[in-house]
Amino acid sequence: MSTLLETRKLTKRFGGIIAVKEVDFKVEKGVIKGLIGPNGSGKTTLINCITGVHRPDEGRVFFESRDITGLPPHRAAKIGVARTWQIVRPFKKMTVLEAVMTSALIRVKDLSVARSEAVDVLKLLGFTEELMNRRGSDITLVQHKLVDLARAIVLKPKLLFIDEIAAGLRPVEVEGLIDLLRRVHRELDITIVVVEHLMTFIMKLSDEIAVMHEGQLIAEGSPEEVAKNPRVVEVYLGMRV
Amino acid sequence: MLRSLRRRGLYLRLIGLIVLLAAMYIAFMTNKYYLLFITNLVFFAAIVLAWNIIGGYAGQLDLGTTGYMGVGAIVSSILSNNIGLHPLISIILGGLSSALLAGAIGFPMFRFGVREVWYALSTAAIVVILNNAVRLLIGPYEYYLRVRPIKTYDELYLATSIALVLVFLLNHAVNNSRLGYYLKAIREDELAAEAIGVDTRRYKLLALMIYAFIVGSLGYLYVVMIGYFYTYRFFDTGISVSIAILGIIGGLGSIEGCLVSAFLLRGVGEYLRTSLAHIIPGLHLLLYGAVLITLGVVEPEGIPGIARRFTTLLKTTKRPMGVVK
Amino acid sequence: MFEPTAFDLSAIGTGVVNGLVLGSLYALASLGLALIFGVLDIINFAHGDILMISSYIVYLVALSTGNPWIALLSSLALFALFGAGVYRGIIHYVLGKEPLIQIAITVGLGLILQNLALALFRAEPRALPSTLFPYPLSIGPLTLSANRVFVALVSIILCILVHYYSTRTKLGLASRAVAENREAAWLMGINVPLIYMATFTIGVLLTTTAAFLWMQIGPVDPYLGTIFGLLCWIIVALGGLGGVAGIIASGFIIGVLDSLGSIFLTPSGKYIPMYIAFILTIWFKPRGLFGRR
Repeated sequence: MSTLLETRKLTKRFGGIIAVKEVDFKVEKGVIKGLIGPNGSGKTTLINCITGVHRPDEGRVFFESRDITGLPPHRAAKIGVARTWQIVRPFKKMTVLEAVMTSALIRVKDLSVARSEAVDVLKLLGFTEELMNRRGSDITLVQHKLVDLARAIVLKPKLLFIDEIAAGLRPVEVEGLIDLLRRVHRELDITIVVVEHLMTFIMKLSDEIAVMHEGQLIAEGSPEEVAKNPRVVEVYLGMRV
Repeated sequence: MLRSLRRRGLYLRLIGLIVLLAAMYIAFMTNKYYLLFITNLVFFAAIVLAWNIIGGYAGQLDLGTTGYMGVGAIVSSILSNNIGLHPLISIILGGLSSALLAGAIGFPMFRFGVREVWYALSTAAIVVILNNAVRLLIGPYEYYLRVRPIKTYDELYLATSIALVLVFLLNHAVNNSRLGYYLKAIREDELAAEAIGVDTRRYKLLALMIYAFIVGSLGYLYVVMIGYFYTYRFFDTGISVSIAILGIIGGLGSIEGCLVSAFLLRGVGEYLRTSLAHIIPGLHLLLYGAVLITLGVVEPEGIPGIARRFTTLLKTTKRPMGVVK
Repeated sequence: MFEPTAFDLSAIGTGVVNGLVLGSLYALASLGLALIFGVLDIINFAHGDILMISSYIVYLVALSTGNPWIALLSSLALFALFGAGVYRGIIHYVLGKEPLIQIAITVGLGLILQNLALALFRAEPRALPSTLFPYPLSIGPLTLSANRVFVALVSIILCILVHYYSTRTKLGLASRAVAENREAAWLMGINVPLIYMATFTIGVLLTTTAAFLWMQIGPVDPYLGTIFGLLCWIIVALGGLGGVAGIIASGFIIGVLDSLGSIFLTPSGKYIPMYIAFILTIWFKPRGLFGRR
């Protein structure tokens, strides 16, 4: 296995607060990696620094051994780093299909090719034709999350960050989502980093897990190892697991 | 563009627009006053459609329309009037100088992330600066156009109609292209657009320059219409604001909506302005204000929103009673 | 107002002092806008027109009663109702909506106010026949009208009172809490809709007071609102949000640029320096020259 993404001593401050502190985060090609931690532990900030939303104050980001520190988000997306959003960012006045097509048009020039690729991805995620032609303002939150995911997948990224997609879903929907993400991972050959604080979801889905706390990585390993790690237990005891 | 032309829906709309323009001509051709009136409507419909590219698709509330129009008008008039270039070449060069100015303004603006209210205010401020700077440079006089390539009102109406059809086609071309999809994504959510790979700065700048080019080239027609190539009317924030208002009421990004608001609302407004100005000045602006507030409260998506409500209303009333599960 | 042929020092001195007077009034006029923008997050493009229409009311009442103080009190009472009514009838519907919708609806309100004024009062500028303190006042080498000194003093005192209001009083603190985080304020038991309506009304009342002071030194016409609206937005942009001190400082800057501009440039050219200052500020220092947030 080769390393797809690596951060070296990545640090991000907001005013006096250190949101991410000297984080060395590694993702091997072909895995599903979980990133967990309590609220405000710096998970989303870490993703923002990697995908170019924030410019890190210190440290570097390497993707496929190439230094991509400070690359703007659209460049990161084009070289294969995609993401979804913790709080959905819908295109309300476009139809679901148009929103996903926009994303497809980054890779393909032709509108009809983009349309068929967007339809394929949306079908994979369980969208019916009727649903695809609804406007962003007329679908549910869960559907928004899936559109967000579809917009990222249709880019055919090498690495996909999924930020808190399971929050607010019912247990049945979570089960379905786990199967879905496994299929995306397997069929489209996308390395995935899942950020979540829903433990059951991430334990089932991930090959390996990294734990963040107060801006730092405090543990890394297989789900079993991490679950037994005393530091992790200590951090999570304060939370409703 | 040609491929999108082949789409049947577009054919029908294009024919509809041409029929409308022809019908307006036939109805008013005998009266010079009304002919000029409808020429003015057609002209501003083209301006509103040009604004639709930056305001409607890209979602940037640009209030610089009359600034770009004025620069294009002055440059093309001087080139054709004083230097003797062919009017068409002058028009293109006028449009290009507007686009260049827009590029010079837009580049730092988008580089520093100026958006929303600050974008609107910056562009309005630029019009004020241009207004005063031009007045300082060439004085408050009105310069008459000596070389007139368009001699009659009928020719002027034809030229303006051709301009509107061209801008209409360009809007459809943008709407059905990658650029259109990117711009709409930028309008909906800039950061999300950026994250799926849209170079938001670049495409906003491109939209701004396309719009400035069209508006700048149209400036020359305005000169021909009003007869002089410099006047206070060129750099008027009030007119810029009313263009943006028509675009917003037309429903951002809706070509047909913009045409309806430009013809219908502005038509009624201009009629009120010209016929009742001596009794109640500013009545047309009272009308715009009332429509804006009503729409803002009731249907923020403007004319297309109303149309959509209407069609869903028709659909639901058609459904036979008692089968709803 | 006057055009000295030689640009001697005293002209500059008078220009600066006049600019400071204007600037303190501009600062007061901008405070309402800044308050509404900061707390409600509403982009109000009708602000200048509210000032314009208040000026007409002050003018009309002062003219018919002959008493400027009655004019002040009655227009304050009227515009308290106006503010609450506009909030409930219009602003309420666009809270939290996209900026463009807010701009559109407030532009609509501004158009209505402006053209109502145009229809009722026509375009001629109107000024009060007499001012409050019609005698000159000598301060060192400079001679000023007592009227202008009064306007500047009242403006500054009111600005300080607003500072006191937002940092010391219960209502002011609550509105700042709402500005920081609406949901958290809700959960803390703050009545957010009430705060919104109160803040909007206070913003309008500050503007009415500014209109009263403006009528002591200048004329009103239907287009006064356009000029004031842009000026106030410029001052809010320069001052950044949150600080009364920032607003006063940028009010002074714009006032002095305005006053010196009308001495050294043509009446039309005087806007160039302040608009360029404005554009450069929002391009390069989007949080204002003195801003927080």
